[in-house]
Amino acid sequence: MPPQFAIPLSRVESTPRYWSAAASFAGILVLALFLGTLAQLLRPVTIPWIEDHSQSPLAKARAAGIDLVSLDQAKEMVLVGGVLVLDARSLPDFDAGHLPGAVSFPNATRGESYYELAALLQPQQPLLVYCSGKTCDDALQLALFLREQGSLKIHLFVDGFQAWRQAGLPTE
Amino acid sequence: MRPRSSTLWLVLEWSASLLVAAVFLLASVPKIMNPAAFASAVYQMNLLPGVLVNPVAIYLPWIEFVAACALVIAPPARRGALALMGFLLAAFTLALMVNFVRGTAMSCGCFGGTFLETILPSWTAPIRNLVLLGILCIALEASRQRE
Repeated sequence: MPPQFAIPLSRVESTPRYWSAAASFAGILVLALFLGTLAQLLRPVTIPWIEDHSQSPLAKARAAGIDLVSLDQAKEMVLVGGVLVLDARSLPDFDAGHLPGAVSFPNATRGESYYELAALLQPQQPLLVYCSGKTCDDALQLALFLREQGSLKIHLFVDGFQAWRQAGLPTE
Repeated sequence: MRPRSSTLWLVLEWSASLLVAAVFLLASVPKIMNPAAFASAVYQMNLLPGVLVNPVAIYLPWIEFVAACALVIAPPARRGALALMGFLLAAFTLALMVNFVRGTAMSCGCFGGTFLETILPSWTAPIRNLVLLGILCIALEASRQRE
């Protein structure tokens, strides 16, 4: 009669396999933590260990109830048309490249630009506002300004021109 | 029959592992190069307390990178790497789906904002993750069968 084991033999044999996988799992984590720390310490420019993101333009836009759109949504809006695309960056930045069909509306001189573009800025006109990227404040400031002026359909393209260009989408 | 079957599992294990490793490498390197952009993407997901956003942006790409390297250059560590990647993929998929349900405007940030993110629309990201998870399971099963 074969011997009887309290634990099936197959399970006993497979236990080292699981231990080995668990050890590899832990080893990878430890090595990654080490390399991440090393990179963080040696890099000349990096992000702080802890950062207050609540003051970022994105957080402020969310708190202000501005409609945020992603790269995909912005791409669809631009391709479908019917939306007025406003570039909140400076004029030299706009001239260097902008989204197809975009109109320059620098936030720094928004009062003058509003006066020039007033005929286009009807309250029901959908607007897509952007600046250089996630960290710039201009598009948000412009969106808030336009909302004060009565625009009702304002969309803020949070990822901005940088993401648009990086995605290889057409520019003018 | 046995050697032929074993060869098949070997080929399956290696090809699935190489594919998963390539995707993880392509995903991790841009995020390692630009932690600020990735931190912003993590913040945009609105899932973590603010204090964890930057530590996740600093370490997560390295975990992806080391796991991908281990998968290819350290076969004895392959199962651990696959288990870790499976865990990460499941977590990423859950995060994406939560944001999809919330209707958050966000690019997934999965490939550090490079053009790879725009090859397919962002709503397909959870599906892509699930396909990758399937390939990962094939690698794991092939590794088990070869024993």
